[in-house]
Amino acid sequence: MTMYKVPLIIRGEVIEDADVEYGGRNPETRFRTADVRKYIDRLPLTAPSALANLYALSFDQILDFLEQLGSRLSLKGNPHLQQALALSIRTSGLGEAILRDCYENLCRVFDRKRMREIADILIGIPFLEGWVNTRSEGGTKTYVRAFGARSVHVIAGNVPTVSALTILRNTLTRSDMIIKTPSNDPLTAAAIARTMVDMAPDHPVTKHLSVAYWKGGDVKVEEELYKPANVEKIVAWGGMASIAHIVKYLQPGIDLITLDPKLSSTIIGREAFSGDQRMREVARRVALDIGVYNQQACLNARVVYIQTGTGPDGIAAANRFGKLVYEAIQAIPAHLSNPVRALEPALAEELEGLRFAGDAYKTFGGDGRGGVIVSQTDQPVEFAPLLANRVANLVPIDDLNVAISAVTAYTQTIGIYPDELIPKIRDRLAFAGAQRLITLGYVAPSRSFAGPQDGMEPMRRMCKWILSEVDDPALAPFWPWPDATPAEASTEASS
Amino acid sequence: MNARFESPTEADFGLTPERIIELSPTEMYGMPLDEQARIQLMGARRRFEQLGDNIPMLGRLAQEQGITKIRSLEDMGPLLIPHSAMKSYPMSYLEKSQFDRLTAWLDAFTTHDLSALNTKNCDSIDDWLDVLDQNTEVRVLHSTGTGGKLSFLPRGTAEMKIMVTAWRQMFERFRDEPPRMGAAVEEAPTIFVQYRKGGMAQHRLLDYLQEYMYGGDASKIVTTNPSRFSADAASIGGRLRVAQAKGELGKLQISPKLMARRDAFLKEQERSATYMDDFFDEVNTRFRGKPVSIMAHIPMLFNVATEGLKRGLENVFAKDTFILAGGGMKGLTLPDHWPQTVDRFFGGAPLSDGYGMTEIIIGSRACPLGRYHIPPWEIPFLLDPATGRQYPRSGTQTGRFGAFDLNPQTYWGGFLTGDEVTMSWGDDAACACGRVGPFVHRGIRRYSEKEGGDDKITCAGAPDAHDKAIDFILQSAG
Repeated sequence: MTMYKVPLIIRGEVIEDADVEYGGRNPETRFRTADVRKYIDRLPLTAPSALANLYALSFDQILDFLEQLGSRLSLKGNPHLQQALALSIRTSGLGEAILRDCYENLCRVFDRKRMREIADILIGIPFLEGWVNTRSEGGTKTYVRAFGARSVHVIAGNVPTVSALTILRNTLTRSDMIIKTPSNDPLTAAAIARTMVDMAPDHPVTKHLSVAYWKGGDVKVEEELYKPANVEKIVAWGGMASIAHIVKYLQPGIDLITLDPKLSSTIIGREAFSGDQRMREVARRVALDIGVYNQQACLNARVVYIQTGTGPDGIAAANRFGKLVYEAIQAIPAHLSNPVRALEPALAEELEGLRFAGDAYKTFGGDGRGGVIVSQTDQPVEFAPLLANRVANLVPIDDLNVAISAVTAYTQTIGIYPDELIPKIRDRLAFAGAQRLITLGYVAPSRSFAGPQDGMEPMRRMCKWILSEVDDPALAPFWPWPDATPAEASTEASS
Repeated sequence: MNARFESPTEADFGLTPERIIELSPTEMYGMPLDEQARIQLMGARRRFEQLGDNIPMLGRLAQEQGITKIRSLEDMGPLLIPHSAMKSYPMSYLEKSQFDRLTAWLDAFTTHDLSALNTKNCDSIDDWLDVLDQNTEVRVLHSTGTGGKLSFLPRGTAEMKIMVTAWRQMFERFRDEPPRMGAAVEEAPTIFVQYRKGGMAQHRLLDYLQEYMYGGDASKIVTTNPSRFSADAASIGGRLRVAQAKGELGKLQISPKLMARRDAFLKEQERSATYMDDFFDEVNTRFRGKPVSIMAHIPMLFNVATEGLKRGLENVFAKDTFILAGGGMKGLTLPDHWPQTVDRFFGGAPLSDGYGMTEIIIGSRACPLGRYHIPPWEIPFLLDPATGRQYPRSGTQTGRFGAFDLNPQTYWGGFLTGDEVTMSWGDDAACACGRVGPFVHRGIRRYSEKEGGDDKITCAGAPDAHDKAIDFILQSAG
């Protein structure tokens, strides 16, 4: 069995050393890569002024490059992506069909119209291209420009699209980017970078992309890298798992942007349970929200509040609905969702135990094919954060307030049904901490890269927003000395 | 035939499997394999017949699995209760102080009838444990709760007495191996590096050792803190986590009475330094240079050793002291020099290493070759962790460990752990120490430990709630 080799890519150079072995307990997931410590001097961008070559390109020229990159990210013709897929099949919890679909669609991240839209909506292309006169008042003119920064991205590996999105965001903002890949997906970002190198090794964008794997917490690498002289922004996905290694290096001059782990949930109003046909349709929708990406993404539904009522009829309806949801999960097409060989061990333990909880829960399924746990009271299971592998918890409630109160700052996506409910409750959901409210069934983000993520605007934060203020002393005198005249003032000002 | 037994029937352990534990280690681990298998099968059948209709949970499980009789040991496999079952009660029972419901949940696991128990005045888990102790034969054992939720096991007074026997037998020699301790077990004191009172297995054991092994002599039990380990304080961390996951509404549901208890517990712990002084005075005065029996978790041993060395105390006990250091590191990282610190204070006695769990009456100490020998009263099982399929009962296999404890008669002794274990059945290769029967190798790990690289990053999840009480407990109570 081949041991995978993960290349180290530094600004257009592909380094194929295989000095160090990493990976999980499972030998199938282990890989070899370069010892990043040996290259630590070359990894950071030596001087910020080296970003200048990116500014010689117009925004459209950047789009041209990315569009061309996108056309080369076709799974069929790209051996790097094929390799990334092969390793992902072993390391990811996503089935082959899903992964194949993901990789086949990576090119869509680089669709010209979408990319332009992202830059336009999230930043405003004029700000990327030049100084925008934002205010003119009297003698004062204010200009703002969004500049790129020298950044390190510690990315998540549960979905391959994260790599493509990170590279897109970075390139649009004309930043210099070092991507530290995780052990559960060391190859996707590398594959995209290699494609860039194959395509245009000397292009400024290629020259500002590095992709490396080192073990998070490796002091010899991180002590050198995480210095204000080398790095201005760190974008870290994954919460404490990645941040634990970074916090000790934070100091003035380094801006940390965290994309924390999130849990998502669902609120379904009583209208859904008014008839069998409706229940079936709603069951299918919530099954999608649970099942896409095998529930591995932060946006997947886990706890689903259903306003069936908690009396005997309500619980009976909840149980009927639970069965429908379970069946719908099984019917999701393979390119979106698949069963797994076995549940995550911690979840499996909890589910095993649940059988002994008396009559507090009713469970449909509960193995690698997924499961639906229907609470028989309005209490979710305590191990809700562990829900994975297409196992969800349906919680019957009388009053929507119970569901709304359960929202916290760690809640990201809330699928809502019916749509009429959205305007009624979204403000309160936002107060409680929710960040993305969607029509039930539409959880997969095919169209939302051009919006905020996790309650903030990462692309804007990735830029350095520079202010230029020009004051004309003739029109906007400022001098505090009582005896100064504008003429004198302007002479003094010019000396 | 052993002289202890008055009749051949009584000496047939197939009929009285709860008496196997009275054998000396030499007798127990000298029993031929086929004899072990015979009495285990008879014993298992006996327990199933006795308990199948008297433990509701077991009845349901047997029905679900379609098991009406035990034809072979394999038939017991599907009847092993996963350890997570013992904390399967909804947390809202605790949050809303619904101790009647908690009792009903517990009732399903025991032959004792708890339906008449009056829990109306119970405001806390501690209250509930007291009510059970005062009114029933059930002695609930609870876990530390560092995992976020307490598990409850309904041991009975009968089984508690068996624990004492098991404890005594642990100090008997196997053949001519050196004794574990340089004094008779009834003579040497038992030092527990934690609280004297409480509802965990160790606290309960101390009560019963005092009564049944030390003849009621309380001075034979020495602890670092004479007060009670509060189950509620241990549980609060878990409850706060649940409350956090449920947002503001959840938080309000931790009753003010309970928060007051937690605060009282924390305040009480401010006195722990004084208790510690008393402890050092006592051990230094009464037991300096003597062999003693010590029960602890390693982090606690380290804490006490550090405190003792600060007070200028070194090599306090004799080298032939017995130190049972169980429970692992509880997720804490100790400095590299911890073994030396522990040795310097305690006097160099080896840390006795074993494999056990609260559910089974007593764990197995490592033999001189570092193997954990399973006694005949404990029927081991190894299962495929993904499918639950049982591995063959021969050779050497690695799988998920389960065990049926033949001792209990008021609760079902069959449990499935979350441990990955490599075990030799002892048929094709015996351990060179001379013991007959299955043995577990070192290197046990939990399946729920992070699979894959520890550098996996994912965007789905939520943080854990932390609480001063839980932190304190982790630091000082082990």
